[in-house]
Formats: sequence, C-alpha cells, structure tokens
Amino acid sequence: MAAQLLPSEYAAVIRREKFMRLLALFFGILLVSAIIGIIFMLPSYFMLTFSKAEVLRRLEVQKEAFAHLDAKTTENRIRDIHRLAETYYANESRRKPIHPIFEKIAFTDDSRVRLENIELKQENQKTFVLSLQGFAATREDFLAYVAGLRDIDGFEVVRSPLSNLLNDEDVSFELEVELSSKLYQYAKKP
Amino acid sequence: MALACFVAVLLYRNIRIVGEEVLIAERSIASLEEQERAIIQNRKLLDASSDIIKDIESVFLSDDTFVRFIEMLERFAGISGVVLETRSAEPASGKEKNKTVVKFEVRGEFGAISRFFILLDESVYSGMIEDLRIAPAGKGTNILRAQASFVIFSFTQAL
Repeated sequence: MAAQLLPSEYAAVIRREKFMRLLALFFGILLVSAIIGIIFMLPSYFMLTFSKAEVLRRLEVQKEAFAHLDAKTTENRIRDIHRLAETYYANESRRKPIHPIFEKIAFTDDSRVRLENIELKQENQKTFVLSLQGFAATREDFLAYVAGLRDIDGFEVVRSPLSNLLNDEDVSFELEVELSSKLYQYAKKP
Repeated sequence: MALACFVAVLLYRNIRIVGEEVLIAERSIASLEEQERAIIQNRKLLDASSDIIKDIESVFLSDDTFVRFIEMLERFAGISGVVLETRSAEPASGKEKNKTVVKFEVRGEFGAISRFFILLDESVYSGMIEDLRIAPAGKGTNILRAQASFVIFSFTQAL
C-alpha cells in the first residue's frame, strides 16, 4: 500500500478537483459534439426545408396532370374489352356445330333408305334427341341403316320400336337417336 | 451548452420529420408518374388494337345491331340457295339474359339446307341450334322445309 503523505483534508480537496475536471471535460466534449452536430445538420435541414416546398408543388402538379388523364375512362374501357373478350371465348366454348349431325345421318343410299322427317329437340335440359322418320326399301336395308347409325361416334343410343320391323318391304320407320354431349350439347353459361 | 444540445436535438428531429414528408411525396410522385406512363402505354395499345377491339365488339349483338344477324342469315340463304323466312326473335326465357332465340324457316334441297347450316355454324355470332325440324315441303318434291330455333349467346348492350 502506497504511503499517504498528504494530510487527509488536502487529499479530499484533490479528489474533488479531479472530479470537477473530469466533469468539465465530459461537458466540454458534449458541447463540442453538439456544436459539430449542429454544423453538420444545418445544411441538411435547410436543404430539406427548402426542397419540401418544391417537392410538394411537384406532387400537386403531378396529381393535377394525372386527374387530366382521365384514367378512370381508360380503366373502364379496358375492363369492358376484357369482359367482352372473356364472354366471347366462353360463348365460343359452348358452341356446337349442327352440320356434323347432317353429315352423319346422310350416309345412306337414297334409293334404299329415304329420310322424310328429321327433328332435333332437347329431351331434358341438356341432352338432345334426333327423331328420324323415313322409308326403307326392305327390312334388311332398314336394319343395315340402324346398324350404321349405331356405329356412329356420338350417337349414344338408337331407339327403334318393334313396329319398324313389321313389314318386309316398304318399311316405314321411326327412330330416336340420343346424341352424346360431346357431339351436341346445350351448355349453360359457365 | 444545454441550449446547444437542445438545438442539436431539435434539428435532428426536424430533419427526420421533414425528410419523411419529402420521401413520401417523392414516392407519390414516382407512383403517379408510373401510373401515368402505364395509362399512356395502355391508350397506345388500345389505339393499336382498335381493329381487333372493333372485331370483338362486332360479334356481340344488341337491339341496335340485331339487324346485322338477320342480314347475315339472308346472305347465307343467298349463298347456299335456300329460301329464308324469319319467324320471330325474342329474348330467351330463364336466367340467361344475354341470349336471344331467333326462329326461322329455310326451304330448299337437303344439300342446300346443309350448306346453309354449315355457314351458320361458322358465323361470327356465337350460338347454336336449339330446335330443328326438317320435313318435305310438299308431296312429290325434293324441296325440304327446315324450321329452326337459333340461340344467340352473345346478345348484349352496346358499349
């Protein structure tokens, strides 16, 4: 332990003096830092304050220019066109051509089997039924025609009543053909 | 010293507040400029696509443009060699408001009637035959009479 040469009252004065000097140094550093901070922050402050008015003015001008553009009209126009295009494609997907049905039933030789009446109607909300009335030269011709119809892709069921088979010659017939949904279907709006 | 610290803190706080305001305003300007560019671009696109848009609009029928459909039927009848008689045109019943049923009759030989329906299948107006009845127009003749109901899907109000 170091020997204490100073009287105790001097030692206390020196400790207080040291503390006061440290405190003064601390506040001095704080003051210098604050002044340096102020010096460095002032240009930014003035620059921001002056540019704020300019930026806000630019914003107002931009808002006015945007309002003059009438963006709503353009947006509505684009939305309408989009809706029309969507509806168009949806409608096209629901569309079913009827001419393939004509081609399918007209395969027969006119001199042997002759169609008199053709009727296409909806049996229920979706399925279509084709009613065929006509004449066949012989029962064999009629049976061949029915067999031909049954082989056609898209003709799901061919209904032929027994009365069609009563005559051997000059056969008057009535047929009902249920069409597949792939061939002909009334698709509701998606 | 206290005053210097107070001024420094005040300056710092003001710089942050003003800086944030300026940043928000700059972002708004950038956003508006971007939207403006997009709108101008879209307008140019609309102008460039005006022909396609007209084509899309033309496939939709309204009360005002319905006559175009009738004219088309008449044109198809002329091309295919059938005699056309339009019976009625009325809005379809049910929930689907944007469709109309047109009832018509065509007379001609089977081949001519087939040609007429081939043309109708290929027409620009979306729709399909809902009901069809083909029968001889009279005894001892090849002429057939086809009565049909055509549902037009694309019936809407004009833009």
